[in-house]
Amino acid sequence: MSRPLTIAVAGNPNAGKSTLINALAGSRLHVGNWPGVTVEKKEAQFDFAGRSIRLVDLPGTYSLSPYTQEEIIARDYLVHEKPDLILNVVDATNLERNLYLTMQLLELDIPTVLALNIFDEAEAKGYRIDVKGIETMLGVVAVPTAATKNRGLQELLAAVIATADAAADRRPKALSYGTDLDQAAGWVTEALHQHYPELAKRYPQRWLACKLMEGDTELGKEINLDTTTLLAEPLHHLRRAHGEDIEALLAEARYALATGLTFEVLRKPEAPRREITEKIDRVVLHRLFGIPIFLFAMWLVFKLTFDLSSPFGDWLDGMIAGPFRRWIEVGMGAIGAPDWTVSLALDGVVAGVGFVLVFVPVIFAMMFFITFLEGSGYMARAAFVMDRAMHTIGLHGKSFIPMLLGFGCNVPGIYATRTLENPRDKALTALLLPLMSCGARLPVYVLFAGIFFTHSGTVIWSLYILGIALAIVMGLIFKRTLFRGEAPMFIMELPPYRMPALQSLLIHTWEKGKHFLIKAGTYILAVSVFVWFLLNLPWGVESKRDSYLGQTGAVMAPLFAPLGFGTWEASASLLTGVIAKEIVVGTMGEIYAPQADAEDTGPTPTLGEDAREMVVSLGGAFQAAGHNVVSTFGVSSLAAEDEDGATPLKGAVRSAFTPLTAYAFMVFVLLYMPCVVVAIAMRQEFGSWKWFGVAFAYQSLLAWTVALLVYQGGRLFGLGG
Amino acid sequence: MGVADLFWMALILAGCAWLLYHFLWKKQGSCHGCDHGDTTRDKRSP
Repeated sequence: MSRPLTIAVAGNPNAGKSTLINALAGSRLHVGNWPGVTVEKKEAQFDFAGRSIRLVDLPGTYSLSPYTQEEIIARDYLVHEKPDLILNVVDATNLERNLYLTMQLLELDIPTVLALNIFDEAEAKGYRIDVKGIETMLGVVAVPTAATKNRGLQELLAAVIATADAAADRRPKALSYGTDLDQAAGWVTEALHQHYPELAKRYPQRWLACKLMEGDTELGKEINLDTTTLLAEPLHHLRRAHGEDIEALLAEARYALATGLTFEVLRKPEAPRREITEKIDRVVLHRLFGIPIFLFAMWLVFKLTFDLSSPFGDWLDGMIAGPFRRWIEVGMGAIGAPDWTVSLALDGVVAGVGFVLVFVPVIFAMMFFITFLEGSGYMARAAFVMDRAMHTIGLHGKSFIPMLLGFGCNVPGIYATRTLENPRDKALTALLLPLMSCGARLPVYVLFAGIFFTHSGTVIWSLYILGIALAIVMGLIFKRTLFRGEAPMFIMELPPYRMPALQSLLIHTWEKGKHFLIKAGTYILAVSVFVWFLLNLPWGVESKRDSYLGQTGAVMAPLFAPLGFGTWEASASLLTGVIAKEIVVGTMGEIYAPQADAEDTGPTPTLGEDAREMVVSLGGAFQAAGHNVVSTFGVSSLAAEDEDGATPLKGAVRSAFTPLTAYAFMVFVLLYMPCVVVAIAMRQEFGSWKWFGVAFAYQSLLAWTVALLVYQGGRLFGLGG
Repeated sequence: MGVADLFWMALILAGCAWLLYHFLWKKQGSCHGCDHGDTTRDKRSP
């Protein structure tokens, strides 16, 4: 077998690089129909025609300037790692803008192949693209592809291998930027050869010359060289003819080439019909209706999520609390396991982890709908709509993209702040991000809203909206205190609407949701065991209230008394929930489980009866889910569970809270300090604990204050308590 | 409670401590997209 080929996949954001790689290599890189999904390089390896191919997915960039983290990562890789070939993924529906990056990539003098991706949509729009013309003008092979439909992939791989194998003969053309710039670049290159031959060997020559003339600061730091003398004559020559700004001059030259090339090779239909994307955008981006539509879309997501998932959650709850628990008890009794291990298994692991697992269906349903919104292109519109709203109060909107990512999990949102250029914007976004309600908080909401409220979907939606509203308010406060300064303008790319492929939808739902299962099977399990020990130490303690965890909860309880949930049980759950918010529910499961068992009396069914019951009730769950989704509004699953239908564990929670204290508790869980993983991510991203410290302080204060207002305000209005 | 019980308890607690260290600290919580910041490698190096 020949040596493996290393291929760097570069292109504009949302040109479909990750989709193309997934289609070529069968990998599962995260894909979303919005820019900025890939914020660092990722790799996938596979074999084709007897060749081993390593694809390196670089972050999407519009240029190779050193202004954002993605641009620096992409260009450092291309310049220093010297891949065998660049696979430049170009969005065929947006040729002119994409070719600007292509011009910069060609400066690197690395064999290049162009994938004219999303070619199917370009054709559907009536575009006629002269592929041969592109090849002739740029001196590279260009292949039309449609990654989502597996079109053109074999041809692309064949072209990649042929180009890499004939690398010496397949260098891209040195494109002319005009006589003056070409001449100046030539002088710089010649001088570098004469005086700094080692630099000329280390860097692509034309790229190096252009970057030195642009005054690229990152490169200046890297080569640590006084280039004043070397550049004096070329720069003088250029400035005399074109003015001071050489960087702008080079950018203009590249744009001119991209525009000229597009003019030559692209034919658009004479009178373009109004496209579906444009029609939808006229409604969803409407100045007045944009935000209400966004709020409605979010509400619909929650409604469908709960309509679909709640029967399965109830089924799992019944199975874990019933047959599964019984089988473990019987099995451990049969092998003569000591009593404490039985208690650890049942009251620790099953009650703790099992109670969290009950929420698997709701997490998966939620991830499915969020993935659908991402893939359809609506999430980008949501960011655009929020950008406009945030700008009106002096905030920048690019921050909303990491925040939207934070709905899944706050941690990738923290890493996505790398896409922000200004360090102050990064820090501000990271500070606001934990106010976005992540999936881990969902089990808490589902538990409480399901028990106490008739329209649980709407209640949970209100919590998400509260998080966004408070992020805007806190952003405004921070902008006027810690982060003074003008909000930068934000250009949001709006990709066309696409119907996400079902397979891709399911794969990415699984990719997002499976992490919840991994968490449950690893550190939520570990914490459940620790909580069990803390609830049983000192050894032989009679009442859970006198255990170490009970005592700690009791010490903290007065702090929460004004918020309506000043019990040791609630306090202890909030304490362990600092590790991960799902653990609030797991700890409640452990605290209330023995109490629930005591209420659970009745004849023990046989294994066969249990198995039959499982199948029958699962069928019932499918039927109920189908009924809920079809009848959509005013369905029974959204009603608060009646007392007879709830499991004993939920009954115990019901007796410990009221609707008002339950809502105050959910608000507190939404807002109180970021979890440990977010803390680690902030430490890693910003190099110190400082911003986590700020987030910890302000969120603790905010959570306490807002929960207090909810509870005391509710009492004032006679909502009970 | 005998020595064997204490041994098993210590073993279980040690296992849980490792799970916390590995999946919470090293793997950054194992959430979707959290591998961007995996502490086992340098996230910024190209």
